[in-house]
Amino acid sequence: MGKIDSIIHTEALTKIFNRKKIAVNDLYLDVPPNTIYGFMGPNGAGKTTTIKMILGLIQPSAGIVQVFGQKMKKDSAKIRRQIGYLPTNPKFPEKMSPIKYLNFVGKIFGIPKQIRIPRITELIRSIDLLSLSSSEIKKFSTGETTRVGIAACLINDPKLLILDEPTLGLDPIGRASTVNLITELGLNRGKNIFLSSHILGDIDRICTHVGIINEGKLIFNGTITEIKKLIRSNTVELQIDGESDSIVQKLKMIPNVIAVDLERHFIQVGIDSKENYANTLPQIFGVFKNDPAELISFKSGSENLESAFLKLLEDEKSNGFLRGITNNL
Amino acid sequence: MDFFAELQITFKKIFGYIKAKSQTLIFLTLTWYEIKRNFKQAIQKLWILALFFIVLSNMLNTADIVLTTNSVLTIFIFLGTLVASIPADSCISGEIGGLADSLLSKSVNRWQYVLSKFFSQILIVFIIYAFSMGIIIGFFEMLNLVPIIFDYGQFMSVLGLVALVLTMFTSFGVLFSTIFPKPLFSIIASLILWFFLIFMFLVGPWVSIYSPVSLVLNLGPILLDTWAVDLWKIALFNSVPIVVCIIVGTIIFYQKDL
Repeated sequence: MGKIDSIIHTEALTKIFNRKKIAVNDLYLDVPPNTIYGFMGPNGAGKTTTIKMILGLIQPSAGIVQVFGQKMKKDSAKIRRQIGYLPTNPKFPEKMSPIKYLNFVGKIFGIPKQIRIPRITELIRSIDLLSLSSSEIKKFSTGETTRVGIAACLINDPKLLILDEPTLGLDPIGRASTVNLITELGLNRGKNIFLSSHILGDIDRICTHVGIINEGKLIFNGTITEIKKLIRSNTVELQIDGESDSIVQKLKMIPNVIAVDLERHFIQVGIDSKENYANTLPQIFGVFKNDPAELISFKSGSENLESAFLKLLEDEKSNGFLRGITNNL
Repeated sequence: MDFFAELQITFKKIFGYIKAKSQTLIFLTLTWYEIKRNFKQAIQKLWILALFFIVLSNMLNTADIVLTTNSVLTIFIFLGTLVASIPADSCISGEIGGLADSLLSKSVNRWQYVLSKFFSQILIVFIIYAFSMGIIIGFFEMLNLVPIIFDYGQFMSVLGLVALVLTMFTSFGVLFSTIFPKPLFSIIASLILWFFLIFMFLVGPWVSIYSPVSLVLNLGPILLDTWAVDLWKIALFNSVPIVVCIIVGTIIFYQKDL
């Protein structure tokens, strides 16, 4: 395989179910190599349908899907040999243990026994299921089931991992360990990862690139930094512990500060322009010198992916509305 | 080396070959997995099997192999066709959105998945049927109750035809499970098919050599080779739908979005 520009490439990808519901609408997507790509969108935005079209499980109504530069079709088993897929809430044969299931999946991939057995052992260890390796999967918690699913994704040593809502339904510990595992796979094991989620915190922590889909349409495609730049505002948020009145007074006296809003322990500080943003920050921190109040946390206006996401959705909604009005005039 | 030792070696060779091949042939892996899984499920539902064999054992109370066979085949045709089609009705539709997605997102082609379902379901039914009939023949042979004039050739033809009937119903079950999104709809479709092909011919005034009912009604004449019907026509009538089901089922599954 020669050098390819995109691991996943879609052109005008469209899916209409039963000639009624447009699930995915004219989607142009490019996932560059060596990235952890976060595919975000609200529930029902078309994330899973897009993933299923990428895998060839659903036939697009229009448009094309290319994976590793080759067109994906329903029978493209050769391409899928290089992909590991974790569906939302993965389902397994209930009576099987992780070892038996991984062995079965390994056989399906045609992996010879001498490679398959050591790989299963390694995977069971790395997903921390050694103690449960012989138990029936039906007795597992959601987190343990997800880990079995991830192991099954990795049995064929795929170049691309497609994970559909991998942290859905997990408790904080299960979520953290899954996030760490994905980060490890992407950054240290060199896997290309395409990750769908509506949990923005996970995307923010794991991904290098992001695509946002809303009502079947891709409304953003770029790096995490780019999306944050989009919503960069000249505000900072301070969380404090202690008496806030004196801090608020001191903040109001800083030359470039134009607004100070207090809400419980959080103070929103507005700065007049982007140019003065960096110069004003040391003065903001300076107000805590010789003050009994303590700065607990600091958030810049550009670091909140959730805000970026909501802003893009809001913009898309207004633009769509405007487009609708313009078309009708 | 005695006959049984040779047989054992031959079986070991065959199973070894199948096992080795199944590692490279996805279709065999899937079929083997399905058979094992269905047998495990059947064992879990042991009470159904137990009930079935209790009914069968009651049929063995007679010393006449023809009467016993007739009773057993009647059960297979009236009850077996229904029992065989129920697991088949959910074998694909019950997995869509779950295991089917997982398997087909890997290196499994759709035809391999569908064919493995058809073959595994047919093989399970066939194994249970052959096992039951084997017990009955073994019982009569062991007690030397088989008459000298008993025509095994004709007898095997009838057994083969009933096996074809069971296979046909199973195939329709798998076909319905590729067509309908929910197993319940497939079961209803199978019941309708059973009602028209079997029940109506039992209670109604109609007579057709192609209805499986005619096989049990005419078992005596068939064994005596006095039934003036070409058995190959019945075999063909039951075989064609099996092939059609497999082809149509595969085509339909190729059109399906998972």
